[in-house]
Amino acid sequence: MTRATETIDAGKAAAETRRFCTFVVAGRAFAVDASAVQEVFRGTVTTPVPRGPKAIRGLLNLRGRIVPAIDMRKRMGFEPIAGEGIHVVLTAGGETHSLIVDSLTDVVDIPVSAIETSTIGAEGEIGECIEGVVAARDGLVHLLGIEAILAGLAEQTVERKMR
Amino acid sequence: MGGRGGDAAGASGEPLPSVQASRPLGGERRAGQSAETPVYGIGVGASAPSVSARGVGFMNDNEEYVREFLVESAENLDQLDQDLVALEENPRDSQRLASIFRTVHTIKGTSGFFGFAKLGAITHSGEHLLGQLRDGKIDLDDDVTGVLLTLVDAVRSILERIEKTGGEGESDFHDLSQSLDRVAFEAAKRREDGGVVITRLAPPLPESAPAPAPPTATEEPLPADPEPTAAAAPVTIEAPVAAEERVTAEKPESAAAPIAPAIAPAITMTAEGGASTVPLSTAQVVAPEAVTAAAPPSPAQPPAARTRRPAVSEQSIRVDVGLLGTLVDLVGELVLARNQLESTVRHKTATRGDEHPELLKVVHRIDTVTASLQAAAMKTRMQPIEQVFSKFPRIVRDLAVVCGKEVTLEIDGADTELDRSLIETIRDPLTHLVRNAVDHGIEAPEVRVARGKPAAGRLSLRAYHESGQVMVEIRDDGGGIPVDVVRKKAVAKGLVSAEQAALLSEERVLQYIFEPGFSTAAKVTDVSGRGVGMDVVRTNIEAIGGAVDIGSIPGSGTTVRVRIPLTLAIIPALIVSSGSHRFAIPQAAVRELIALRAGTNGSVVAVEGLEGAPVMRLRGRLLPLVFLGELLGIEANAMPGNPGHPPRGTVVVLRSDEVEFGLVVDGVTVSEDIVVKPIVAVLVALGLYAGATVRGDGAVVLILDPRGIAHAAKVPPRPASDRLAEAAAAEVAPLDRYLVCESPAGRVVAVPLEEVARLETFPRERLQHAAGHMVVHREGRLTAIADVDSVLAGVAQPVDTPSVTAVILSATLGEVALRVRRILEVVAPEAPINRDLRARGVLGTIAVAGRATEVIDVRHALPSAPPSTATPGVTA
Repeated sequence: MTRATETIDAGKAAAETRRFCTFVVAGRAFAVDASAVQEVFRGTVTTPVPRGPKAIRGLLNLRGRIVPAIDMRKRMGFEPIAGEGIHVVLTAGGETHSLIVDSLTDVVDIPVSAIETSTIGAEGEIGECIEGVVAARDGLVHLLGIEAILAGLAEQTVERKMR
Repeated sequence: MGGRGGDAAGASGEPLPSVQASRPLGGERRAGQSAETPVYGIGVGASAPSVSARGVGFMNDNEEYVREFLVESAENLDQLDQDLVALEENPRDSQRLASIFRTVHTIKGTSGFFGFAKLGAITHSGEHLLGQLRDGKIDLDDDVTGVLLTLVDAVRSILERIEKTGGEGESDFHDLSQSLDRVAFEAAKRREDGGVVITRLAPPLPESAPAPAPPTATEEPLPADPEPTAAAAPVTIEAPVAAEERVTAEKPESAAAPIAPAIAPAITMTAEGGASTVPLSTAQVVAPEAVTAAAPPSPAQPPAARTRRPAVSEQSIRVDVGLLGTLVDLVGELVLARNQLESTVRHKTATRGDEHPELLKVVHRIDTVTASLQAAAMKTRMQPIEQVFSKFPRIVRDLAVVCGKEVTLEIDGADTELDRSLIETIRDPLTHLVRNAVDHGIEAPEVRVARGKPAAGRLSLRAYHESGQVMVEIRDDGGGIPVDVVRKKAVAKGLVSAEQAALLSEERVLQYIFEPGFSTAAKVTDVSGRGVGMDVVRTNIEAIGGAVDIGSIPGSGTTVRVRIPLTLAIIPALIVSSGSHRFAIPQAAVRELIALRAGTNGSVVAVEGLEGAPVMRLRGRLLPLVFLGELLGIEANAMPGNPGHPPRGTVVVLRSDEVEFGLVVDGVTVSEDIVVKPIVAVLVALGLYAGATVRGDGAVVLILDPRGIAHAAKVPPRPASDRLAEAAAAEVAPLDRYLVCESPAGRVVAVPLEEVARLETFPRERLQHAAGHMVVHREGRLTAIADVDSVLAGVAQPVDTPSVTAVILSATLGEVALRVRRILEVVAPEAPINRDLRARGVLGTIAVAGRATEVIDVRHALPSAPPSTATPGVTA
């Protein structure tokens, strides 16, 4: 964590890179800032949250901490799949959430200069969650922002409450 | 932190103790100290590359010490308040005086270390005054106590200022220093033999002190020239000053440069005051040493101080609250792992027939250790209520002076522990109640004497544990609350009609005290009586799941009883099920549970539709129903259903704020203590859940928020006037309703409904004898049971039926069961109870369908009541 922070602090140096954790959801490549990732594990969710956001599959007990698990397929408008998933546990803004993804790919250092933030091109629910795009050898990697993912969740909640 | 030099790191070890420890040392230590100066130079080494960089270093290191100083001083100040008030009671208590002296001395010494000149100046004057007291040169009188308490306040305000801004602030405490000195002088003069003392008066105050060399660029970074005193008694406090000087020495063009917030005040002083420079603060700090050294009254004092302090610090340490939280969480995890281990081992033993006695032993051991660890971890959250109580002697004293009253404060049970997080929450409500008692409760001395009471009023504070909760009782022996005034005021405020008000019992009338804007004080004082308060007290206490009760006997006093949960982290809860889901409901909100079954006695429980919204008739009142399954959109058995198919399930009657409603669930699984865990903001925003908990098997269960559920289900709130007087549709208040039942001997009697908790039936076998009383084993504990006839006539009826019907009387009186033959009805008599027609065990008489019916005085049913002449026997 310290290393990543230092990397960012190092400023506008040309060689600056950010470390990302990459994974696959519905056949597409996504990534989150690796410094926020607490742990990754495979498991199921047992406690659903009635009237909660539709993308929240349920609550996890992570060593005494109650962590909501966000089904990234549902969150981004893909066809959901049942069963176990890979949980990518992230801490941001003092809260811990888990993202359920299809499979984990890698941890990579991406030069900041390679991150395209102006024209992301994605719309709808995917677009809400994406903060940037990186062109990799085997296609585009979409960088997800946890704040953006959560902001959209709250909106999904409101819709359900008005129902 | 890590980037500091070795010297600076050494400083973090013991900056404060060294100030104390080296105090009595002589001059030979000086050379060594000069050599060690960099130790105190915390990050301001000469080789540091730039001013700003040094500033940061200094702040980081020094801030930590300043914070420690602030925390320690805050604790000491609370102790000072108590000690001073206690000393006033008993001026001969030399130990207490010595302790006060030490505390002031420590603050003074440390303030010198950090260059807090004002703090140094006033504590110096205070210390001088205390020194005179200690040496018996002056007597403790009102003037002396008053000025010393003012000193404590001044120190507190400076410390608060330092905490907020890093500096001592603009306030000039010069007057205080002067009055401290003046009081010392005058008190000494009052004593005939005090003349000699005066010559030993403290060195002059800051402004009048001879101005030493200003801290301009000096080549020698040692203390500039603290001539007046350093020779008399050098102390290590010089060392930090030297460090400060080095700072200024290196940057002479601007003494007030923002080198570091912590040090800035001292330097700013230089810029502003010119004469009152940094070295001067050394002079102030050092001076008293000269005084105490010159006057050798109690040479044993400093060593005593040295040996006592470490002893205390060895027994307790400061631990980060977050770390404790982590510890508690991890212990929770361990408990779950233990459970899994146990079930795995059991499973293996059962299925494979593998016997591993050794393994079982280890599992058992882990089990017991884990349980002890869990208990110990939870205990780290607990703190004595003394933290709140300790402020009261001072508050009461000050208030008594302001109000011109004499008050004796008695504190009992200060060691009663409750959760850390609750201490702060209850501080304001309790303070308010204490202020009320002094201001409004206890009468002026002359009034008291005229009424045949001692001139000094008694205010007693008592804390104790009772059935898993903390009770705090605030009792005064004052004039009590004038019930008729409250009654009139309630009518005047339109809270209740005059006719209804006349019907209300005294206890009911007293409840109006808790209404917003309700004050009975004839005149508004500074202290209280501004119409804010009791409602806030109740709101705050209820917000944490507590309750406030008030009782008053005109002429002889008022008692306020505050019930507080032990902790918010662990709360008793009801685990309920709805479909495949489980939820926890905080027990504090639960009023009662009612089974909803088809074919149950329709007159007691019936679900009706009122404009589509389901309601239930409960003891003559309509209770809105919320079906949990329907509200949450989950598949549940308990659903509103059709007119032909009455719903099934359990009604959990919940009360929150102004709302009372029945939550219909499929069933109640168990009542247990749960550990409340926070949930993320997105889920809090739903407004339905208050948190979550992890159950013994590791399953996560959401905690329902009764208030949020009422809101989501749009349960209409009951208006305040309705809540109190049940004024709707000219209904008589439900509390003036009676439960009519038939006694075992066939007598028809009535019980005030407000005393009734619920009705129960249990098999005769559960009745037992204990300590000369009949008891019944219910809900895991024993409840005394009396039969109606023994209450009324002292003649008990034998239990001749296989099952026993009992009226469980509410717990505020102490829980007790009243045995009856059968329940007849609930009535609301048109005429109020006639209290002239009463007898032993009979409160009065009401008319039920034209028949005179006796109302039982339930107090006579209590085990502590005058014993009934016969103990009911159980016929086998």
